[in-house]
Amino acid sequence: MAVEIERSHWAIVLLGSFNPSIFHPAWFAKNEVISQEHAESSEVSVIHNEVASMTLGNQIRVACEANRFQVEVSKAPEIILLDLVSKVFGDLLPHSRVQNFGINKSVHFRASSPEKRTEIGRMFAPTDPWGEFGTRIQSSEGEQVGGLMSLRMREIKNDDETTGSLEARIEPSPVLDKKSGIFVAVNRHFDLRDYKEGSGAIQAIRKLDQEFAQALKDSDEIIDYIANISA
Amino acid sequence: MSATAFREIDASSSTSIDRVREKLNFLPLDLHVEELSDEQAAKVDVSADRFSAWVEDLEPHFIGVDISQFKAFRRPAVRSHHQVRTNPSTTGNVVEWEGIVETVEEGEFSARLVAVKGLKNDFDEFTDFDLSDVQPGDRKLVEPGAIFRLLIGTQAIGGTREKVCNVVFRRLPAWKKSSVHEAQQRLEAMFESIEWIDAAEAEAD
Repeated sequence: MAVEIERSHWAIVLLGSFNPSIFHPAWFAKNEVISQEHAESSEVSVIHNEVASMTLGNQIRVACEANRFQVEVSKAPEIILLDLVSKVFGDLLPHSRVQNFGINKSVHFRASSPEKRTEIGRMFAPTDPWGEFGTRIQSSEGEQVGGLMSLRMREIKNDDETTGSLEARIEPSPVLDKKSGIFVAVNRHFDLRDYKEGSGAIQAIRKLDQEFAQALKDSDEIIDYIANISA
Repeated sequence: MSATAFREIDASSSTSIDRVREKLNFLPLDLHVEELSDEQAAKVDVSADRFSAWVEDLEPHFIGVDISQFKAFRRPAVRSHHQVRTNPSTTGNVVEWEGIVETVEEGEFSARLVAVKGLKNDFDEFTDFDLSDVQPGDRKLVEPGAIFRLLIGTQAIGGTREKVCNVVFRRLPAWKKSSVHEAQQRLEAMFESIEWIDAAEAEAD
């Protein structure tokens, strides 16, 4: 049986040009992006010309800077991220410039034992190519055991409309058991090939809508594989 | 919430079929296409008590029997925790369905569901919900055609496990005129591509 995923996190990141001062829970509620009840239970960290940060309905975190808009949740259904972004930039602010975007998923889980996690680390990052440094890491044990700290793998994924990549990262989990916790993050990134100045967000939102499910499926495939071999 | 999903029992499952046959042996299944004679009717125990006992015993598991094909249609129970864990999803142990509201009546609505995560069912499920299952702020979204997600299971949230049974209505962007126009064009192109054949002419050929 696969190990249990203990924390999950999804995010959509748009890169372009934004006006952070627009975003407020009351604005989202007025435009029916969230319910009035959710607006009333929202928490605002900061709203400023340069940056806005808030949690909508105790669930969706929104962070906006002049060149970046990000929404994230740690609780399914993650499809609400797509709905929120589609409504905000497809319906309400279609003239915002969005040229690049990413769909992210990350998880934390525990390997079946500390030894298993070390085995997984050695498999992804063998110590042999590291010379004497690697030999010392290989022979380390117990509290002193060393090994993989971060590894990123990238697959290039281009199509007619976009260039992009699927990138996975594996690290020890900083939030679970420090001996057996594993963190895996996957980012599916898209750059629009022929962005027409003045075309706003529509190209990006259309592509996001088409690719959201597949990007998460690709992410889950990577995560499930690593979770399975960690059991 | 009552699950009323229909599923034909796997014909290879002899245990299930045998159990159905055993429980239905009081019905004249071999005579279903003919009217029963008085003599046959006298032999068949179709008393209300017998039927009630059958309903009580099997109804939780079976929602119907197609006598002509001798097939039972099972009501799949909500997946147990163990079953969900054998279908791991990277959301935790959550089964997620996408639902479309079909009808809305006072205080409840019915919907068609398709599993999107945690299950590999390839059939539609039909379910009735109380309106109280929907968050108050989302209730005005409940109308025929509205799309929602149903989640059932346990989910690890911020390091703790929570039981999840959520109905979340999707707030989708409005249809644009251009999208409706594109859809109409696709539909017209599809109709135009159909080659209609006159049945009488085809027969004559």
